[in-house]
Amino acid sequence: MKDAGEVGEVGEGSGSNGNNNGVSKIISAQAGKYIVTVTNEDKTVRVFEAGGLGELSSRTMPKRPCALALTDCDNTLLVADKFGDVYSLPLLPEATPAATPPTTTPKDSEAKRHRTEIAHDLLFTHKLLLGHVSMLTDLASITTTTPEGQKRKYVITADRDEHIRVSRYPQSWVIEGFCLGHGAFVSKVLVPEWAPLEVLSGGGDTWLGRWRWADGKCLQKVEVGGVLEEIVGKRVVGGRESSGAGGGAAEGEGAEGESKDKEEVVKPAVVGIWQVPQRKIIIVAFERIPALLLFTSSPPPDQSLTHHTTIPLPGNPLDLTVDPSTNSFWISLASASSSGEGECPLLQHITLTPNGQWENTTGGDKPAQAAIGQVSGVRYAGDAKVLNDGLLYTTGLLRKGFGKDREE
Amino acid sequence: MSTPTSASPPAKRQKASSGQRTGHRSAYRADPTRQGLPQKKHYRQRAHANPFSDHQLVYPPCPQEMDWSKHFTSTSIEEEEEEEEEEEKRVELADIGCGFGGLIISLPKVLPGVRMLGMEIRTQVTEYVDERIRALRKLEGGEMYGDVGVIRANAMKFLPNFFEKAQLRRVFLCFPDPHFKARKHKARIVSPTLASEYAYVLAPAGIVYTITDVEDLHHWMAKHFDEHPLFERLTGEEVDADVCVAVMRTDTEEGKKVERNGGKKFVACWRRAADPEWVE
Ligand SMILES: C[S@@+](CC[C@H](N)C(=O)[O-])C[C@H]1O[C@@H](n2cnc3c(N)ncnc32)[C@H](O)[C@@H]1O
Repeated sequence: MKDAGEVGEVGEGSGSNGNNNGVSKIISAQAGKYIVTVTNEDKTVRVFEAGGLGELSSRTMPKRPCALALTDCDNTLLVADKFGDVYSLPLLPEATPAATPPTTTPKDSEAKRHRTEIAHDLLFTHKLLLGHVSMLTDLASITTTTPEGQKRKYVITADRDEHIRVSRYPQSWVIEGFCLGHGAFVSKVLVPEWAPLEVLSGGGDTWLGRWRWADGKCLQKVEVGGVLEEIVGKRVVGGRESSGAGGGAAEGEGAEGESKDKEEVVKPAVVGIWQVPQRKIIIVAFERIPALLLFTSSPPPDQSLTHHTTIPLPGNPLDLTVDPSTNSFWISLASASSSGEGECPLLQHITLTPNGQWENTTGGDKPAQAAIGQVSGVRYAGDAKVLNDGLLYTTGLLRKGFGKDREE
Repeated sequence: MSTPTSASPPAKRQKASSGQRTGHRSAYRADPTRQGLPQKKHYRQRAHANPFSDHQLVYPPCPQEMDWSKHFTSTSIEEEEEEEEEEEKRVELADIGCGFGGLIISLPKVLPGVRMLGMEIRTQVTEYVDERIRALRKLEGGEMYGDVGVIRANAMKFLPNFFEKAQLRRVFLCFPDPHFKARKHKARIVSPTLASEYAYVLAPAGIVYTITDVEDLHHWMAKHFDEHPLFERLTGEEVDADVCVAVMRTDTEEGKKVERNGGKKFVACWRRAADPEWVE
């Protein structure tokens, strides 16, 4: 499975007729054979055949999906939603109607499991796998093999209340454990291909987490506050609350924070963690911070992460997709000026060179040129504030204390 | 507050400032006839707190970082200097949504020495229970309350922040808020997905106890625990033989209210099964 990014959102939502059914997630399945999308307004998961892009299925979920993953050799889709639940759906409803019922479940737990589903009257095969009383932010699926050759599958879920949960799959009612320690929301998790027993996490803290997910042990807190401070030239403060203890004023305005009397601080919010497996490189982007942070992984058994380089960007990073065959990646950007105006290329293509450097290859990359040509014409017709706070920069809003959730 | 109407003489929900309330409270502290015990009426708060909102809660990032020393006083009223290096006793019992604390105040009589924690989302109610426990510790025979504690917490969200996997032997869900409207069912303290969290904090063979006067809610809880692969229903005899059940029937504030109103109480308990064999 490869995350193909969220590049579609700005363009899709740009119609002046108010059609905001933007594609919020895209993944490809079965080595590129299928494309799976989530659209925001109609809460629908669609599966397309990659060749002709014919729509194979369209399934509307009870709540807005916020993350997708695949398991069972890419035959099952995992859909996490804003209400805290994770469902499994067969990727192709017709081809696998029974959704692979396990045969060795001990006494009646299989029958029990089917009855455990909450009735949502969904007209397609689905299972409610697990739920948090929180907003889910990300999801990862893991398949490992025991020394005896048995497959062990897990689902990792992250939420707005700092939790990273590890559940079995398909016996997802067995919670194996938690990776706890974040002081602010967790917005992204990633299991590196070269370290499948670890999970990396990022969110509203000034550090990234490296965990051994089997027992929840924190292996490393990778500090990023200093690096971010160098980029933004302001103090960077992590943590749970949108203001208060840190004395922050800049929330929701990111690096361009309104100045009050208090010192301006920047609250970090991880928008993405990606990997370049061949190089064992981790790429991290933060909301409204016009740079990418690259980390290298030391050789096993240590495998610790070290900040290696920072790539400055001409705009704020929105999403990224890696082409593992060329060790290059595409990054989608938004103008860093608060009005959303200004000259900013909407796509960049960056190649990692063999000597550990990077090169901006946007100019030389034909597909990149073509794509930039396409998207540069797209302009959001609506209010810049709606665009910024509602569509482009939503991660920082996960932080607590945004009025609506106050008690009494 | 099993039904909003059955709530006792509705102590008109005055929007008293916390300052005023504190005034009342210091008055009872000075009143010698009360022996330092707080009065419920000074700790009224609106009936429901939304379990989905943030509430400015205080909770540890993980169980290892929880400082329990504020909540428990191991053996006696005055701290005895000697018993320092002992390994800290762990909470083994949780009363989720403990309300005014009747259950955890009574349970030490049948479970002496068991460290137990009431968890309650409403601030004033939690404060009342805390004052009550502190006052009881100072009375004659108050040592047993050293292992009784209360904490303000949203147990639906943060159970794994307080307890490690398989830490608890008993979890009580007594007269939970019924949330009658179907749209609000996700706010119920029992759901298929929350049952998995209760299973996570319970040790194998640990027990979850439920009691309610709302028949509908009883069926709801029974359905979800019955259908959960990690829970096995206790038989009628097992339920009757459990020392905690009688206390749960009679000693929670809601239980007493239901008793006064001649209501029916529905009890059901489940045992935490061992984790099953893996399936691929
Ligand atoms: C009807 S009262 C019952 C109180 C007590 N168990 C009794 O039997 O007297 C339910 C209590 O659960 C509390 N509660 C509801 N949701 C909660 C949550 N998520 N975490 C902790 N307490 C909660 C409410 O504030 C209320 O005090």
